[in-house]
Amino acid sequence: MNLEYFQMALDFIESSKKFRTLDELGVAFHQATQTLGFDHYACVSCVEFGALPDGAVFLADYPDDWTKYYLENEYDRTDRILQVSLKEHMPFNWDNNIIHNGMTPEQSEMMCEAEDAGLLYGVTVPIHIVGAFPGAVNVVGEHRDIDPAAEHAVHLMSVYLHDAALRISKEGKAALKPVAKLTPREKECLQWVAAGKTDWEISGILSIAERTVHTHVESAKTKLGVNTRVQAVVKAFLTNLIHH
Amino acid sequence: MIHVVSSLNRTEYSGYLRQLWQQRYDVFVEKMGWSLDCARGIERDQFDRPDTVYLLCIDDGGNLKGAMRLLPTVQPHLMSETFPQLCASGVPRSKTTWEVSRFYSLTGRHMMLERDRTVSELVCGLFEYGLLAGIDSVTCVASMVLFPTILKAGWNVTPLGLPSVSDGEVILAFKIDLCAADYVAVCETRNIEGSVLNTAPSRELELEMAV
Repeated sequence: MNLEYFQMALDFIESSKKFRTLDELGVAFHQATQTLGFDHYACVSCVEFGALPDGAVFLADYPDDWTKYYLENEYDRTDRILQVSLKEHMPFNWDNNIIHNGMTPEQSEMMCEAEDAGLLYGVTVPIHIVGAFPGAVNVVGEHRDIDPAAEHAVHLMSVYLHDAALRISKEGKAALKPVAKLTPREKECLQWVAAGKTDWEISGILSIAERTVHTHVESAKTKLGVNTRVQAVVKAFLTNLIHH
Repeated sequence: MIHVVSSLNRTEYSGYLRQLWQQRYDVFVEKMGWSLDCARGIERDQFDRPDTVYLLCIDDGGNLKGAMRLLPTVQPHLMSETFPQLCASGVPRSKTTWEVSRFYSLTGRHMMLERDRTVSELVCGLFEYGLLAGIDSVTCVASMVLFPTILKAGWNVTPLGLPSVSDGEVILAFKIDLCAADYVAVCETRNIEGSVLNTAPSRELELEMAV
């Protein structure tokens, strides 16, 4: 057994039990998996994306442009990894035959696009808890030559990550509720931003000035406390302000 | 209600123990497909010894609904004999650490369901017995598939090593602390009020006499 990897996993696990916010939890997990040779991670409940009910979790650090592209294309409906993790109960890596056998052409195309975005090889830990939403933790990067012991360390940390994320989401549920109030126009504009439209296109759709669209989106960004349009869309989705 | 069966009251439970071997065969060999070396219809191994303790969940009608096996870690046990490679810094062995194995419930479709009264009684019974008998932690080997559910029970679980592939399954060894604060929390989550033990455990007397 690789003691170094185990010790690293244990360090994360012990601190995960004490974290009070999703941010510090996510940062610690990201750092640990980067040391193991990965670049990105996502810890999600398999629920209709955009409607995050109580008891569901969403915590991720994926490339911004990929997230945007994924949302625009509603790739949660195509995603092979998501599909397999709903059926599979054991952790698997992306070289596994259970992914490649029976993959549709759309799914392989999406995997190729993900590769181009730097999501080349990953480890997926499906989380199936009786009485809770199914979930999955993906730890992904550009390298294929990952030590099997490092993948086992990822398995272990992922289960604790999901458990801590559930606990913190539950604790913070009350505090999280009054996030922001968006006007109907702001919601409408964000909805179209989510669909990949530019301000100019949205101004045509809603028959309002492009400048006004810009003002609505900027105002939504301020209310949501985020810096980019993509972040605004993601946050609005997650807090149920806009829907698919 | 949870009945603690040890060397002191074993003879009173011989009928239940015969049922236990049969149920364990049905659950672990037939249903879960474990490759265990045992006679047909009876699952009983070298760890079912005179010093083994069983927690049996027996319903009001006198039916055996589920059980677990407890082994002292200072004696040979599953982890020390079969899975020592799962522990990164040696198999934990102490008078206050016991090993849980062959945990099952016949009620409910899913083993660890929070609504499953049998599992709730077994889990709270383990805490209650442990706290009374001076056991401060239990060790266990389980499948990665069950691990998220085991964590969610609300107790403090610490892995003893990295998971590893065995018999086509990813398994791992871990330790659970049995402390009073967690006992209260687990009882609350699982809707258990008061004691679930049938009698005061006899191990307590044994330990007191040993001091």
